[in-house]
Amino acid sequence: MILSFAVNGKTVTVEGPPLRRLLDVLREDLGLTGTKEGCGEGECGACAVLLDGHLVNSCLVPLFQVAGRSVETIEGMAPQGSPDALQRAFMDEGAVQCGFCTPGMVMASRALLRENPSPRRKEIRTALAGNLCRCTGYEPIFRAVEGAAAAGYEVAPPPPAPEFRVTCTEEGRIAFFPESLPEALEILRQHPDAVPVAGATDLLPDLTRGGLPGPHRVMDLTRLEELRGIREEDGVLVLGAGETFASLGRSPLVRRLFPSLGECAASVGGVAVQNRATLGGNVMNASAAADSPPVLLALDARGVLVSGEGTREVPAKELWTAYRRTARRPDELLTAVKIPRPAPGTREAFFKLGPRRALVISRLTLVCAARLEEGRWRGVRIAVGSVAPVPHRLEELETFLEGRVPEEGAVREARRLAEDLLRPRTSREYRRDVGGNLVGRFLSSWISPR
Amino acid sequence: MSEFQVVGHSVTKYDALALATGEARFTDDFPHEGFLELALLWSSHAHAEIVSLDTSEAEGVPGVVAIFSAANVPRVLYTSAGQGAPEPSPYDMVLFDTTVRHVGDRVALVAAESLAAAREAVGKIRVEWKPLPPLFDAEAARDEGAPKLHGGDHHAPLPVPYDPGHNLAASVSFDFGDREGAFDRATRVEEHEYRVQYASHCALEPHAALASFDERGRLVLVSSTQVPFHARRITARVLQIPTGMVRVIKPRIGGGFGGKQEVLIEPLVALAAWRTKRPCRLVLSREEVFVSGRTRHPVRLRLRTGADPRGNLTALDLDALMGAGAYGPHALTVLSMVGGKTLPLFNKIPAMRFQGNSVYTNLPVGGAYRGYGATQGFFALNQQIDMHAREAGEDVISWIKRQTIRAGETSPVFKALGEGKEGVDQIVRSCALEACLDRGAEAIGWKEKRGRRLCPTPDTVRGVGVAVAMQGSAIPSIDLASVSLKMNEDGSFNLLAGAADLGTGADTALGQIVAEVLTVPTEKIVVLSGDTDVTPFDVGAYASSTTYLSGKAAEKAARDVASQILAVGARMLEVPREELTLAAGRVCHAPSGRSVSLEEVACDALYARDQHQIQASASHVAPESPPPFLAQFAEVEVDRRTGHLRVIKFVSAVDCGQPIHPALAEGQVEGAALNGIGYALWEEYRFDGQGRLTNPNFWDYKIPGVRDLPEMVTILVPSSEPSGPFGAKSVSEIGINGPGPAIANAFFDATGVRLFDQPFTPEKVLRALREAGGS
Ligand code: FES
Ligand code: FES
Repeated sequence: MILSFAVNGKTVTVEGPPLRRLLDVLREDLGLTGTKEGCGEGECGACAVLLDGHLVNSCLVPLFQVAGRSVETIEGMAPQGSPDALQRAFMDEGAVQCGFCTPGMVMASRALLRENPSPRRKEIRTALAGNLCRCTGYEPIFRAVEGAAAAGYEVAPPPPAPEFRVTCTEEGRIAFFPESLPEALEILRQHPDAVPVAGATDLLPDLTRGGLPGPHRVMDLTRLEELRGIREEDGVLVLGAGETFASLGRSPLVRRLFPSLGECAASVGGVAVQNRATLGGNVMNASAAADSPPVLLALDARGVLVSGEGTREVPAKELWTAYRRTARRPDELLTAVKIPRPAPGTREAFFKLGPRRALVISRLTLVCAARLEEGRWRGVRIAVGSVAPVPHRLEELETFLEGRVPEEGAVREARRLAEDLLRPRTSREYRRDVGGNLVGRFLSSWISPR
Repeated sequence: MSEFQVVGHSVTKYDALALATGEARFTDDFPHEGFLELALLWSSHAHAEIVSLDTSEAEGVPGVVAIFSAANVPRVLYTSAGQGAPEPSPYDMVLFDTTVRHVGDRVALVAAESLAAAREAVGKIRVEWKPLPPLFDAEAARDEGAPKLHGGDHHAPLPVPYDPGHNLAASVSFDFGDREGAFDRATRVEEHEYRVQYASHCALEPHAALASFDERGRLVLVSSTQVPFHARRITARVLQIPTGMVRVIKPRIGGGFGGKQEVLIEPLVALAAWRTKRPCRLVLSREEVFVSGRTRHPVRLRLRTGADPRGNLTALDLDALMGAGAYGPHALTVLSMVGGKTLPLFNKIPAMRFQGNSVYTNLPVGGAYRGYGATQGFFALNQQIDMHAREAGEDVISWIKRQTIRAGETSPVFKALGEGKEGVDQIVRSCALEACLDRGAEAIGWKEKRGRRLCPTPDTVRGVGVAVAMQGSAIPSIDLASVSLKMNEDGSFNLLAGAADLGTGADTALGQIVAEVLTVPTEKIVVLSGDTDVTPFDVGAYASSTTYLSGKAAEKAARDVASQILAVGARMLEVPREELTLAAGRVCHAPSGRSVSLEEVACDALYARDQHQIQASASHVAPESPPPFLAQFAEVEVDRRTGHLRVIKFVSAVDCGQPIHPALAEGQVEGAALNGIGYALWEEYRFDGQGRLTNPNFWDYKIPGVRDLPEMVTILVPSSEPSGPFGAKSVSEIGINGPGPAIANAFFDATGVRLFDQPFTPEKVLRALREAGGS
């Protein structure tokens, strides 16, 4: 396909397959080699650029999704080769050792300073969480960002994007760009093989890793306004499936009503991944290790699936049917996730062990919710992820706890029961131990407040 | 703060601007239009014979130009270890063999017009395998019935122990003193087994190399290498062409840490280019780096130590079993340094034995990795001294002060353990370990925290621990560095250094040394390094050599140039040379107050009288390898319910002599320390039952990011090394040696439980606590 987008304020027109990585387009087609490749899997940030002002990893951005958008790279910051103040701060603070991570670090810092001109250390840490550096130990990089901020570093707004214009050239490989939900549903009706693509943070690494050519038809979901929004409707929180983890993590509504969901969102990778990965993508990708499903299970959420025939709401318990399978029909689209407002007094806890997305390292996600009513536990919900092909609730444990009075004996029993109910295939003993301990920790909070 | 004008100041790193603006070029940033793209077929078997290799279908893929394999590539034995010639590593590999020895071993190489075509062709190569029994357990490698990996004409080019019949890639041993008697008399004997694991360097830039031709038809390699000259020599040898037909250019390098001290892919791009007469490009993917690149050697250490009633060590016996992996690069030298770069620190011990074996297994290939054996050795030693000090009821810091080497002292180990030959006797001339301990202890809050077991929550507990370490500065009487230096009309200088700045800032440090001698700002020194056509020889960036060794060569050349400048100045000012000095970029005659500028001197020499180029070259080989010293302190918090072990604060206090560039030196220490923390807590290779690595990516192989960062404190403790340039010693490796044992000791301080097996994953921590009944 042929499409146009802006790079550092200049419109470029490139040709390539829809799923070609933006990173390759920049480096190979446009000769912008300042953007580096350190892993090709979204884990190092060396390839970070700004897309419409948001930090993204260009190895995770498929070409077709940049049509009509504005990309900023390291080359755009110092057009005449004279460093801007942020780059100078990197030089001055000794933040550049081998320098391979530097362009990505600079872009991540720039994105931060554009939003937050005087960040605190903690905020700098969060902003750089997705960028690896093997040389420096990070400290000088923090100092560089602080130094630039202290010197009043100002970031211009992102340059404007050109008009959206694409031409599909290659036979068979087609990208669709629906502008409205009905249009998207019509495309799915006609082409059940079309793969809806939102943040592509799982899709592209999967393809690279498997050495696969990828689907023939892809459909861009990022233009659908109907998938956006975080709002409360009649005591139910409605989260657009197209909302990113970044916006969930920032949403005061989410943080206030469902702290575990907010925590979960903030724990998904670095900023560049959070800016791209969507709730809907995480749900529909149905990876056993996905972070949000156990949260949604514990919160009694429902998925809203829409097709040309109509709308249905599927309870979280029925959303994930088997390993990497969901209840979605090919003609359906997940448009939103609904979560009922929690009963007053509900406490939640989100525990996550092991790194994000790890496929091998033993992981465990445990989400608990419960409240106390007249001295008894009510509304107990406990969900686990990463221990079985499908995330699930520990229903026997919930039943056991429901209506019980918080006391040591009950906690001990619950811990044992949790261990029994967890049956991971690997690291069995460890994950059962810890699962039990974490359930115990959650319940103990009613007995001996920390 | 520094008695020098340039040295000891954190001047702007030469390449910082170009790197910060993204303009600096790494290997893969060079234009490569029209290059053939290369892709490799890697072995999916741990041990197998290739019965047949059918490339006919692959050759039919449009765009494929050539396919190389054992069938059409001459068999030249070599080692990929980028070491001096002849290498102390066995010649046990060829470019393409008919036997594969680990998953990720090379099977075939495809050159094609596009990467997609090359990859497609790789997928269409049909191999008929005859699986051989694999060997995964290093402990079983020397058993009679164990599968044999090597034999035939595989050999060690140096007279060193090599016994492939017993899967021995290398072995070392030495002992002195009446060890058994000392153990008999000891009032306290500790004997424990420790394990340190495989790890990947994870330099952010993967291995990359480009091959093209100059106008004379010579091969020009641009490569992400730490050893341009060794890469040139080894590549030429493997291709069987004269060394002079190869030029190796080292551009900016995205980190190496030892991983690029390996001549890993240069021969492959060179071969493909030489045979196809087309320029070629190869960039490894992250997964390929993990699987086919070099690693830290895993080692099982058995350490037995005896002490007298005061807790003084009287006998030590260290046995190391190292997994070399499928081939033996650095198998001997890393093994030697498990003892060689650790035991001299404890030079008060009257009886010692060290024996080590490095065995072949059908697993990834070990190599040079920052710390180079010392990391492995110190893991055991530092824990065991913590035990002895505790038993003797003495604070471990004062224990260490009594029991470790000081300036003016020596150790028999220096001579006993060299790299491929005997070591050299040496007296330690600078050592500020005591001050490192004191300043580090203060920074971590040792007095307030040690033994307190503070519990911030009911489930968590804290502790502090310490570890000490040394390293070396270049390989004594083996490593050679050289530079040449010339003066230009404007009073600037070109420094051509054989050294290879791999992202450390070595170019800048060398420039500073020259600038200091010539009394000019660093901007006046134009440094070009690591181009085998242009610069004189240097062994390259390894063994912590560049600042110390290449720095000394640079200092020598600069002093030579300085005296030439004075000679010209003397003629111009018509005064005796002895009355002249260089100051602030001028030749000054103090008695008369007259002076001439360097520009004037240069122009006079180039254009006026007795015309000549002011220039010098210098070589340096050091007869000794002065160790830097360090003390590292960890404060940890343990979650007894999840086994989560978190480092809260980490302090490194290091004596690297006079730091040439303090900020860069600190950066080296801090980067190494963080790398060591990652190694201690998470980094490891996980294999399935077939010897396949299951976590060859940053998803599953976790290296420290910002989220995992403890509060880091780095202290440079001044000392001055008489043999180094302006008092400098090395600094780049040592910082990785302490985190593992310091964290383990801190964990013990918190819980009373020992961790013998790295990495300390939550799973292992929880198990250790359980077994000790501590949870
Ligand atoms: S290359 Fe590592 S995140 Fe893109
Ligand atoms: S400076 Fe080398 S990876 Fe950051």
